Amino acid sequence: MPLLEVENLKVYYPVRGGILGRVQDYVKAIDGISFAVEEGETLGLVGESGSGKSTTGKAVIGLARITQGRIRFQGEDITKYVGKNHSPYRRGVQMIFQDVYSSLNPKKRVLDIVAEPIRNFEHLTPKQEQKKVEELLDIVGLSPENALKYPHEFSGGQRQRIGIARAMALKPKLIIADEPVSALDLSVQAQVLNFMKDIQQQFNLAFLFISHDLGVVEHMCSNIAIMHKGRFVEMGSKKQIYGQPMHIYTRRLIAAIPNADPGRRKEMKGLREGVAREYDLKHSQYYTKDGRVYDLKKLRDNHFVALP
Amino acid sequence: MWKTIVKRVLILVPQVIILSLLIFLLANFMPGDALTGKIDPGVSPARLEELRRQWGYYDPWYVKYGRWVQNALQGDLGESTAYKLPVLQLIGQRAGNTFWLALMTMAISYGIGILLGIIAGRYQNKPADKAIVFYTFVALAMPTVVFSLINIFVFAFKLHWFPMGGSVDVVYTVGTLPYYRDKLYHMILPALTGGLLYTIGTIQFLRNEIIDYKNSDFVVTARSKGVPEKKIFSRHIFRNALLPVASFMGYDIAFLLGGSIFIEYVFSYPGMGRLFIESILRRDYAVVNALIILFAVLTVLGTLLSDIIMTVVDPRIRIK
Amino acid sequence: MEEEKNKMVRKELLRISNLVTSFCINGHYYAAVDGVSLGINENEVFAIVGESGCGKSALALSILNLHNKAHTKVEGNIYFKGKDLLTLSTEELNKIRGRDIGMIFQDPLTALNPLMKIGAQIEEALFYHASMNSRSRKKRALELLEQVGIQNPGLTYSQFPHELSGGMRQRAMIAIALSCKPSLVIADEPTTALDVTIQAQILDLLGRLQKEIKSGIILITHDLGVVAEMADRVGVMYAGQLVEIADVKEIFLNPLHPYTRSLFASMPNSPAGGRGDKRLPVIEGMVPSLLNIERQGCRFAPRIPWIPASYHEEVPQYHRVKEDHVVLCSCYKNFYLRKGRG
Repeated sequence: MPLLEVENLKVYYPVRGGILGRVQDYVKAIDGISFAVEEGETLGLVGESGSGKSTTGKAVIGLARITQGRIRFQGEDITKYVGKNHSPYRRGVQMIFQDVYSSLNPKKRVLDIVAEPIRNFEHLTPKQEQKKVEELLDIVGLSPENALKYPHEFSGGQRQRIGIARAMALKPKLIIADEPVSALDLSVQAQVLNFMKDIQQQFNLAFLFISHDLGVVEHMCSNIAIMHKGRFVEMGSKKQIYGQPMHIYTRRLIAAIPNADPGRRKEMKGLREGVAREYDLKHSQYYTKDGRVYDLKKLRDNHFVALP
Repeated sequence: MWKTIVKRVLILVPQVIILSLLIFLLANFMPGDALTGKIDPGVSPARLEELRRQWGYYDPWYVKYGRWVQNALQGDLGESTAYKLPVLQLIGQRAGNTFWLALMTMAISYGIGILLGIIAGRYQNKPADKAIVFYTFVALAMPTVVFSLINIFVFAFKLHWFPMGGSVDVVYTVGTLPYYRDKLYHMILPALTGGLLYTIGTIQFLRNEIIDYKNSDFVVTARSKGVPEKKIFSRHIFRNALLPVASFMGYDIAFLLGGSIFIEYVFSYPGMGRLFIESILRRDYAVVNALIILFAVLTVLGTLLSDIIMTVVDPRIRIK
Repeated sequence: MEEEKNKMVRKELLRISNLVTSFCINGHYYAAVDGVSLGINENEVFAIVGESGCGKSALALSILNLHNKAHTKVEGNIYFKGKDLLTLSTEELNKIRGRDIGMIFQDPLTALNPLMKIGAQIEEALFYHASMNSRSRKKRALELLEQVGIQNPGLTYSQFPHELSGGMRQRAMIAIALSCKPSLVIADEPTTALDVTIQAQILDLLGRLQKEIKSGIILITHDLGVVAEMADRVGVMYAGQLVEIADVKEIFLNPLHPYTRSLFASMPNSPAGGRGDKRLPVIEGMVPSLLNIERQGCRFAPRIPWIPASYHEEVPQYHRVKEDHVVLCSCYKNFYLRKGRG
């Protein structure tokens, strides 16, 4: 049984208009996606801005209203808990954010930030609480005296660690990481990525890793889903996605990653131009008449591609 | 855009209904009535009682309200008990005075505000800027009544540059050129008083915006294109800095058309602000009701005007 | 071989000599660019790489003296076409800005005036540098929009910046920067705000136009992939100094300075870094903030404590390793990467 199972998830936002403000149309942020995350596994969710990848993360954790679909966590349907704060589901799934500057309350000490989820679910004495926070800070590689400092005293990488400590407070099974390293410099990004791998091993954590950076995703994820226009265009193992991308959109995305080998510059440019031509030419074969991505078809093993 | 305008005006209808009901009820529960103020000791209590009954004083409130609405819809907002004039006619007389005063006040306020705002913003932290900032602090702390009295004392009483108050001398014939000239002459001091105080918002806004924009990204882009500093100021900084000022204009118009209560009162200028306060003191409820509703309508229209101005000056904003 | 020859005859276009750009913080000046010397050749893409806070953007703005003069001091010399740009008056500089040197900025949304139509913003640059009447200016603006790959130049010409997508805006920005066919373009993180596919398009466009008008480009970026795709030569910046300058192939194959090596290794899926499931080698600590830069000795030394102090130079010098490869401080000779913790 997978840890998290998402089935035909849809999130629509109404577009209101006219004199009476009636609903005239819907923005289909997510338009029917299904996926599963196994315990201890990392599923990468890749897409460009506006693809719906962040909304997916929000919907799974209950920050976006689900229009339709099922979300099962450890076999239990949790759609009924959505919007309720103290559901048991909320203990098992936590989230870390991209913006390490605004996701931590600047007026609270690290102690209060990290202890907040604990306070919601457990009743500990201040002493016990402090001890627990210090343990958590140790896990993320920060010394215990940091507990009494405020977020502005930390660098970007350290703030992301504090965010992760907060997410780890309730010993979750799954962490939704929405662009966790996009705002960080390369060397700091490497620190945080390594550290995320460490805690994954240590606690058998699963990640839903949302990112636009295909290099980072390749490094972090065993399975990857590519999103476009609120739907999956392709899903498979890292090898399948990077080695044999089948959908034109995936191919274009992968061809666009700058290659870190200056010797292959011409080759890469040729590849990009080739894919771009193919994209223009065969676009209609990969999308329906009204521009919708087709349903996923199983290609082999666990490699799925959206084809007619 | 037209849709929004229609929508806003339509929303005005329930707003006015609720507001009028509220005012009507409040007025109804106030102690005393219009007769209280002008009781001739010679009138017998029995005659008073008869008058009250005749004018519907003892009717239930909803009957009174219904009667009021019915009349109002026919353009009859009642009669001022103090002036013995239909309310509409009374407000009409005063509205003209307030309108011209408001126009002059606005012109002074925006003229000074934009000029000083530009100087302060351009020469930030220079002596001129410091003097202007000092002026805004003084003006902000100055109560309108005190400032009005000082101006009357200095410029009218001591220096005799301007009249002490009123809107026109009785000696002039209505409609003649000297009559209008005298009206203008009476308006200058109150308009200057208001303008000098209301201008601080414009100065502060413009100054801050200019300072913010001076090193904004698109201004740096303009510099990188080799645009001379003077042109950068007029084409890039000033136009953008003016946006928030323009957006407040609608509110300002509404606010000033309501009549400045303090200035009109101190300058005994026969405008709507003074009418409002006098009517409250005399319990002239028909006038108070009408004025409050008028103010409410002006406020809503002012917001609408501000929104319209925004869509005209800022291409990023489009009301649908 | 042909390529090598071309390099030999390349003329120097811009020479930055001992540039110090300092910002005033609480009454004291702190150097964000601290003694940078550098030559840019005609018709080459020179990339300046580094993490945030290393001074690369401060360097970019210094060239055309675009810093806020109220609290910035720019010292040193910047020679361009026989003149020292830092000694010119604003009026003299304005003749060079936009005509001989164009700039492209990171965020095209904030870098374009929200109240001006795209066409007007392109024509503005033409207005001050080319003697054209309004008709030919418009014609040229439309031409430029077409050149930067905008499908419907006529429409875009009369649109406002907010009506365009991020990629289109950056194309318009490029049209502005290239409007007078400048001999040097300074591009400050030109694709950082864009999606990968758009980034690839913009980089290809920039590369194509660079070849057409043969201008030199100073490309400021933090993205090593962009460097690999675009640059001819690379300068790596750390704490206000250039720590290594080399040919692009050389720097990817044979990075020498400890910072360069650590930085390149921490890139996921780089040849030097961890491919697959391996841990990434990391540099511990972080880029020092402007107020905390250790200005004596090797500035990178505090982050590689396992390298003995005697391997660093007291006053770090530039060492010419190869004809086109220069490294700061002698510590590179004895440096080895250590697999970082956490």
